[in-house]
Amino acid sequence: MSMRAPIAVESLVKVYNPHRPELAVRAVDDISFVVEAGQSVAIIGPSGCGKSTLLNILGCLDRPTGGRYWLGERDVAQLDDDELAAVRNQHIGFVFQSFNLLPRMSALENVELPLLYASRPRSRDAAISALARVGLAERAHHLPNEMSGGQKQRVAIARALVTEPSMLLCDEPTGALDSRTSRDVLGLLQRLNDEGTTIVMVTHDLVVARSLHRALHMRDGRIVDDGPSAVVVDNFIHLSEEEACKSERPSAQLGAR
Amino acid sequence: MQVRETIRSAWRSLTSNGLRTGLTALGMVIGVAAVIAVLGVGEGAQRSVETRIRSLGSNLITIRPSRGASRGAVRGGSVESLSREDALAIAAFPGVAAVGPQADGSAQLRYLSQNMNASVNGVTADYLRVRSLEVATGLGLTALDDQQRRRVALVGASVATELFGGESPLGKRLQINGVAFRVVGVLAAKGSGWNSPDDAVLIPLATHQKVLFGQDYLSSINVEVVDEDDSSTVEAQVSQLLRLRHGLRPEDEDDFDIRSQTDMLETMGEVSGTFTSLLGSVAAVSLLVGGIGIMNIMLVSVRERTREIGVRMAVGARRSDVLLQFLVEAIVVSLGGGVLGIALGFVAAAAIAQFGGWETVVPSYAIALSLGVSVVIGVVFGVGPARRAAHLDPVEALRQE
Repeated sequence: MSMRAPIAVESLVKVYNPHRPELAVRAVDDISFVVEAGQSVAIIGPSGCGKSTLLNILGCLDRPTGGRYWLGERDVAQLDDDELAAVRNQHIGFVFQSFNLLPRMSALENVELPLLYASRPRSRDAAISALARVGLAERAHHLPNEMSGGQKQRVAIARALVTEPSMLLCDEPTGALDSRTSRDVLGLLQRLNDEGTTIVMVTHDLVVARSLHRALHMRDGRIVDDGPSAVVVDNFIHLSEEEACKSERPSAQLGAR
Repeated sequence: MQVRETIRSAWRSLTSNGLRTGLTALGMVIGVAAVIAVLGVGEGAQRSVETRIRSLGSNLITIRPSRGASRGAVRGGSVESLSREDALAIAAFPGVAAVGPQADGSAQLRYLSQNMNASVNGVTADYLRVRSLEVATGLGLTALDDQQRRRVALVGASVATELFGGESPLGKRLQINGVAFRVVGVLAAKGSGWNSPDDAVLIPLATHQKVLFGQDYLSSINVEVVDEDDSSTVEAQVSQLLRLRHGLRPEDEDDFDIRSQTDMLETMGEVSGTFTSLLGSVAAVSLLVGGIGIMNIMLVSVRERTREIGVRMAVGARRSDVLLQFLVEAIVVSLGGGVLGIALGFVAAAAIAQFGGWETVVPSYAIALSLGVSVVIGVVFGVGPARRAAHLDPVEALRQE
């Protein structure tokens, strides 16, 4: 499959506890959008709006209750567990807020991990060059706890890159980093995006969201706003301020800066 | 995922918590070692019984009197069904090489001021041959000794040293229950044990019956058959003959008991086999306990590494990869424990042989058996936890702290 695989979701629905109506939660409620190959998209919105659920579905970790999800030519809903695992391995790279490196493996071994599960065997060189791409070639044999947060996240990004996926799915990639290392990691993601990798990122950081091409604003499982990131972010801030005034008690509007 | 990588990864995660892995494997080590040692003792016992029985003489059939129920009543008192005439009649069969009738007894021995109790057995000239006994010094008993009821004695090796000390017993005057005998020979040592000829004195049968004990019946008739393969035929013939001679009616039970050496081997083999399997099954219980220990630790491990499982799934591990990973870990623990256990079992068997004085022979099948059982235990007790790991929901697993 080529590096360029657009994402298309159509009337995507995810219901938790679908068989018990009184407990049913529509975490993703009839969402449709298309992400072009090479685009970078931020998903913003308050906690519990369904961003993470959407990201998990896009990452083939979770299955939608309804709707269609096209990843390139693949209808993901038709795939069985093993095929989903192969898609995660070959076409998707995950970057998590908490890095999720395996603590007892060196940086290089962490980066190699996806290669172990790849259907076609690849050499260790791929892992070394992925580490070089994130600028950590000389740290290959360090354990995660011997590295700073920024370095760990770069190792995690190298792991996401090692099978040369068409897209990176990032869940708060800078959430555990200070502002300087955030900028480094963001710069790295930006560069990868410039090189053609599609990026979909859930973030609370509106500055980060603004730096991407496009933003989706989610609320209660729906997309309420979709467009160039600057416009969507400004609308989001505006909306948040209005709500804060209305409710008299300016509760901590997450992400509002 | 390649098997080699899986094993490497299993090894890494096991060694990262070495103490816990070691303690878990210890259950298997002890279990397997116990099984190996028990099988070693059992096999050793079997072999020593076998050599002992074989040393009694080759192609041997032994006929002993038995208390057969006769006409609905159990005969009381001592069993007096076998006679010298029976032995003579048996000797006439073509398949019989030699017959050694024997009358057992126990008597007081005295030489000068030395006293001891020993079995004193009346035998005929052929007895030594039938029982594969040899005379170390001096002579054996002759037919003439028997005919003339001579008071001559062959003494066992232990009796010789105990009663005569450093002296040569040959030609010495030995008193048996107050009757004077001349020692004509000393038997070659046969090794101690139950009913060993080393502890006995042999005298002519007629002397035994007429002079010393005043009894006409025999304790047993030892028959050497020409060909071991014929022994069952000879047994049948002997049985028929004795029934006839003893005037037994068809509904009467035999008043004698015929056992061939093969029977004895089988019986003793069964006995020691039963003991071995009894002890072995006790030892096997500890394997079960070891397996449960493995299962326990694997469940803990799956819980602890839930997030790792989530990460592995996120980067493309299939459920079967996760299943295999945990299964391999369980097998590595149990097989590693098994290998160490085999080594420890050999050490234990050697120690038992060294300090316990028992012959131990660890049979080669025990090694294969232990390895096989170790793998099976790893699979049986590892598959549950591994399936639990494989069926984790990746989203949930990643959310785990």
